Amino acid sequence: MDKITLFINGTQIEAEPGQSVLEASLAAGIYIPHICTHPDLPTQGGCKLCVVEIDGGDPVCSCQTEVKEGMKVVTETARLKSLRSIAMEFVLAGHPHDCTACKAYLNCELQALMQYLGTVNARLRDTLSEKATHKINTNNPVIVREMERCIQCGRCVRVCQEVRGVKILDYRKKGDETYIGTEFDLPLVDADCRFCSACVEVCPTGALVDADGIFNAELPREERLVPCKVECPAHIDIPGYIRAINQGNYSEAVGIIREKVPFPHALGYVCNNKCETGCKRDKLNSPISIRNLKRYAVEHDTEQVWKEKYIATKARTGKKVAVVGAGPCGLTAAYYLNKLGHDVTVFEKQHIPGGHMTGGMPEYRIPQKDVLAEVKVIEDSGVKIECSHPITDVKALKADYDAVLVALGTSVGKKLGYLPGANLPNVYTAVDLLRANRLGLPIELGDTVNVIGGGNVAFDVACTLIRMGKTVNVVCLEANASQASPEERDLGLEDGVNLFDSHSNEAILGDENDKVVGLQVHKINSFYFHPETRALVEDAIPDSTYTIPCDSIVFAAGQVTGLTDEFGLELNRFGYPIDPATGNSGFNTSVDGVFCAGDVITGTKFVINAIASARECVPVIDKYLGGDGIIDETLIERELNPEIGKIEGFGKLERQEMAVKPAEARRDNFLPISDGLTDEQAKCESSRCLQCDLRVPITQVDIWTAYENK
Amino acid sequence: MKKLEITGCKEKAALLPSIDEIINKAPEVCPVDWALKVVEQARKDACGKTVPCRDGLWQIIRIVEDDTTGLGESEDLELLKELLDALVTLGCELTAEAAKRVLKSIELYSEEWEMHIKRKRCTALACKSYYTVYADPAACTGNEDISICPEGAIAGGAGLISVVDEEKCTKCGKCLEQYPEVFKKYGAIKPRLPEAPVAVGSFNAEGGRRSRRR
Repeated sequence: MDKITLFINGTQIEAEPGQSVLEASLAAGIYIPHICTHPDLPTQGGCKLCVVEIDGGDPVCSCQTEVKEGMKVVTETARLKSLRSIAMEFVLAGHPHDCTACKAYLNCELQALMQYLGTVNARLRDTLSEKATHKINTNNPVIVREMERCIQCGRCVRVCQEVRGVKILDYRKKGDETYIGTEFDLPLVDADCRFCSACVEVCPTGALVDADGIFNAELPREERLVPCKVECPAHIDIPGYIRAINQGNYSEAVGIIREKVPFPHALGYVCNNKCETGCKRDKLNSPISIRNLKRYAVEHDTEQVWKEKYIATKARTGKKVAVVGAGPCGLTAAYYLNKLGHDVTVFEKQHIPGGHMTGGMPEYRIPQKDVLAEVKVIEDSGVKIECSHPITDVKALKADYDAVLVALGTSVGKKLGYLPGANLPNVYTAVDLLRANRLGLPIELGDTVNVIGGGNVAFDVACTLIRMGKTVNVVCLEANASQASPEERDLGLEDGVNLFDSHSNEAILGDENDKVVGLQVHKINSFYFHPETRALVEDAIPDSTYTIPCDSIVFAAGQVTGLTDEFGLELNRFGYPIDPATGNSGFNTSVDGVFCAGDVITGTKFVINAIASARECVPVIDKYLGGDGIIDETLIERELNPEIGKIEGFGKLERQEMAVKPAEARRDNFLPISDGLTDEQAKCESSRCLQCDLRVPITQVDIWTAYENK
Repeated sequence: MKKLEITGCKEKAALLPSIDEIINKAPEVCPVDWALKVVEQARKDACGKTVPCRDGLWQIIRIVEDDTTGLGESEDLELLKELLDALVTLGCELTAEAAKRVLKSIELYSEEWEMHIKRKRCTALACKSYYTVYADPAACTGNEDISICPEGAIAGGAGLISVVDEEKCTKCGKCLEQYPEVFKKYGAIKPRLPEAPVAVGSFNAEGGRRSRRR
């Protein structure tokens, strides 16, 4: 369609047919004051600030007037100025004067307009003190509603009705007074608010603001508004895939997850779901069960619609990269480096790939076959994996490759070496035990095993031993094993683990043949670690020493890299490679072309952290090899539908928990302890999402200072 | 551009009181009190979605109310004209029509408006703050049912002249309606009245002296 030509204050501008005079003028950089109009909303012509004179006629609202060919628009005359000023005075007569106490101070469109129009709030009668409606229904945990600051511009009403289709906000009247509220003045939760907070986003004043603590004010707006995505170390588009799950598009959901991580299924089993700590829904009742939805999506993905795009790679660069360690970090890096066109070989010392996912976490928490299926996809994309191939000299390896990534994690368990008897034959680390169990390696245990340590790994070990038919005692300093998550601890206790909490170890006792016979302990009231020396200080119970009999011991006391100088990298005193340029661990090392990522630079963390570290390191390696370092990919094209409608009882939908098998059904086998969410649960859980991401595309309003003719 | 239409204003405008109510009945109808009723009706009927009908009419009511309660300020009339002019231009049919009618009242009866604002008087004795209710001693029969007053502000009884307690009287108008011959209003000039109920026929109204109210 042809453009329309019109004149604003004598300046010729072009406009799209169907545009309002206000839209056309703002688009041309000529400011006309307005406050009830928002670029994403239908206009209402309520504030009267956008009045203009057209072809010498009476003042009209420019937001309500369509552009016409040859139109002559005047935006500034004495009369228009007076009319705008009076309209502003009417509004300000009912608006608080304490701008500096308002949460929108300096971020308020009304304040900006007061400056622009030079309106002072003095001439008219005060109507604020007569207002009787502003205390109605302000109580909810997500949106702070300071309704005395409301100017009833109706932007919230229009976004709720016309854009979101939720339709709970509207103009109401009580007596003769107009206010914005819900039907019957119901609290937002009872009115079935979806808490999308679009109303907050479009509110020009401080009437609607986000409750404190929901968003991190230091982050840029687009990140801040979707806190789950911020909290996820790999920044997966969580609202995106939850929406896909809710629509029954499980394969698309997996594709969205795979845009950031190559192990959706593994993460669906074992992720520490840091995302859930950011979930805005937590303010309302409890966060979305994000991890369990992820597992559900993968287990219902029958089409793998993402796969073709996923395994396609860029043109080959001819560069060769070696990755040391086929754990989550090494394999993620290998996938992306291969995708960028480099030839990648992964070297793994164990006989199967997967790192801790297949060798360091219990089978009942993360089935090996599911991890290997995800590794297979990476191989399908062209990555070569050489198992049973330990690397002992990284410099020698580098000689054959253009770049090397060391991602061997913290794969060596730690013993408390100071404990007498720690070097007896039947004394193991958690890594030894779990690896033997999962990779089918021989290990001499006896019938009764004492596990030293009280964190989640101690319970992983203990529950694995229960399933191996052992009697298991967990011995730890903390009362109630408070280092472990309560869920993990309770599952272990149900499985039959004996807990010896508030116990301090004295010695591992052996017989004359060096066979372990028991753990000598005493009881404590409390303990702490000295803030400077980190030494254990305990309040021991006198004369409480005794021995807990056992045939073997497993230390669950942390892990180390196991690296020595022979490997060829400069290490710090804890065995972590360092970047000589900074003196700290980082992606770069003391050898040019050799890089590090994952646990080997961060210390033992979670699978998602290892993946995130790989994603951050790959661009560094790619640029080193002459690439652009860009690994962003869109596997699933998606559009955001801003209309979400109403769901009855939405605010009260409870979080769905996976049913865990009873102890009798789980403690004699290594099958997963839960079959995951049911179909109904997944549907409910995915519908609970507040869809924070829908707020991001809402247009930010430019105030007058952004225009040329200000 | 998508536009939300606000409808129904024209129909509501047609229901506003006609200016003929004053013209035909002056001086019994107070043009200021009438104007207040016009704006109050417009505000009640308005959709509240625009600044003129929501905040503008409210502001006009606040000013006119002040003018009928002794709180008017000397510049009110000029201010009102300016605001009303703006409402005629900016308002919907309902708001503009209400504003026009108030402007007409000011135009036709500016003296009465001035008197309300500056002298705190209402010729028609319509503005509550500007009149006092009393029982006319000469008209009292001693048969009036004084319990009709919801405030118990009327003293009297069988064969007695009723006396209205100014402090208690809320000017609800019940007595005025029930016994229009007996209960009346006075404005600036207070008639001579007994201080307490006395027997019908025993009060000599002739001795009354004129006194200025306020």
